[in-house]
Amino acid sequence: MQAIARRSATRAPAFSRSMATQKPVLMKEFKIYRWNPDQPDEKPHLQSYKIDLNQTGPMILDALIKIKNEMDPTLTFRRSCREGICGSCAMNIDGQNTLACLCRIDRDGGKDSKVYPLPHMYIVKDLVPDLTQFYKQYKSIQPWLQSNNPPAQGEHLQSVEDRKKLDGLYECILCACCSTSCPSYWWNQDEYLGPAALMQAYRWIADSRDTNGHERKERLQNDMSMYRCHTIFNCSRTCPKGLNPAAAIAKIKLEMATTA
Amino acid sequence: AIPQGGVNDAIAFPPPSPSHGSYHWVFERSLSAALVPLTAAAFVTSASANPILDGVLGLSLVVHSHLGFDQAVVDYLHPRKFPLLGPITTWTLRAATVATAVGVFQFNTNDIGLTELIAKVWTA
Repeated sequence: MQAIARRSATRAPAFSRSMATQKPVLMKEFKIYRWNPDQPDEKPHLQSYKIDLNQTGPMILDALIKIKNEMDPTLTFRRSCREGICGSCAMNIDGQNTLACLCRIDRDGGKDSKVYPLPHMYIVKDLVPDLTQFYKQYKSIQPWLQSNNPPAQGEHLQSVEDRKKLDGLYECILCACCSTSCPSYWWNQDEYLGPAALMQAYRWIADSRDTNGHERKERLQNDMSMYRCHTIFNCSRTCPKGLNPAAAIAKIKLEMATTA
Repeated sequence: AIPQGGVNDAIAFPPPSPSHGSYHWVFERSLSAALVPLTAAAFVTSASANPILDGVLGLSLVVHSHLGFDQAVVDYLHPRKFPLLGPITTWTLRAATVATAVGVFQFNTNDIGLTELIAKVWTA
């Protein structure tokens, strides 16, 4: 097929071969949540921006940056690595919590795309949520190695099988997509830790080098910190890194039921 | 959620209480699991021949329902956000559970019993 096209191109008349092909214009409308803390009485609203997708990169973050560069410099959002590893650009795009830098723009120009901040979070400005509580919860599970028998010399040794148990747990980038997709977290953010912190709690419980698993589990022995999880599963569904917090929480529940 | 304490402090945990934690969770699930053979057994036998089965089934259903509603109250009407309505709902639920348990006991003892009641649905 390609060989035939190439042969016919060399036989095409000169004027059509030298003309550069123009990209057609493909306009798409983005409706983006805006709220300005400098005018706090003004209610949050959706602002509409139309951009040419053929002059934009493929991801939602590219669209946001283009809008900020060319149309509205006051549009505010977090971003850093643009490759799905830092977790800064977590937001709610067309109803799903995901990373803007990994979310492809739907190239249907007839449909608009709605961009909201992460749900049920206090907003600093536009698409920037206040993650203070999220980080405090992460700190409370003590995300560091606690061992009461460190090796006399060298490192903590760990078998290949034991290291495999951490796969799917350590890759969490703490973007908060999962926790902010959980209805239990929406209603009880003050006391329920949320899937992100709980999965990291399990990451340390499951680490063979850590000897404080019992204390880690004791901290969860109350009706709010972990047991508000009702296996809704929004967390695993929305994780932009493909991780499974719901499974990690289930494993904690199993360990607490059988070994406590 | 308005963070308590300093922005860099870890959140505090309440003192550990397995009766509110893992024991409660295990009890809830064991009861749910036990209800499957109980219901099946009540389905295949007659109530008059097995009054004890009828009683156990009634009690299990009442306790199971109470635990289910209680979880909903803790989720949606927690006292920390609803200092008046939360405790009122909790105690109303407990009163309703006790009343239902008494009612089920009376019904099983002085009347036909739960199993027979459900069986009546199939009679012409």
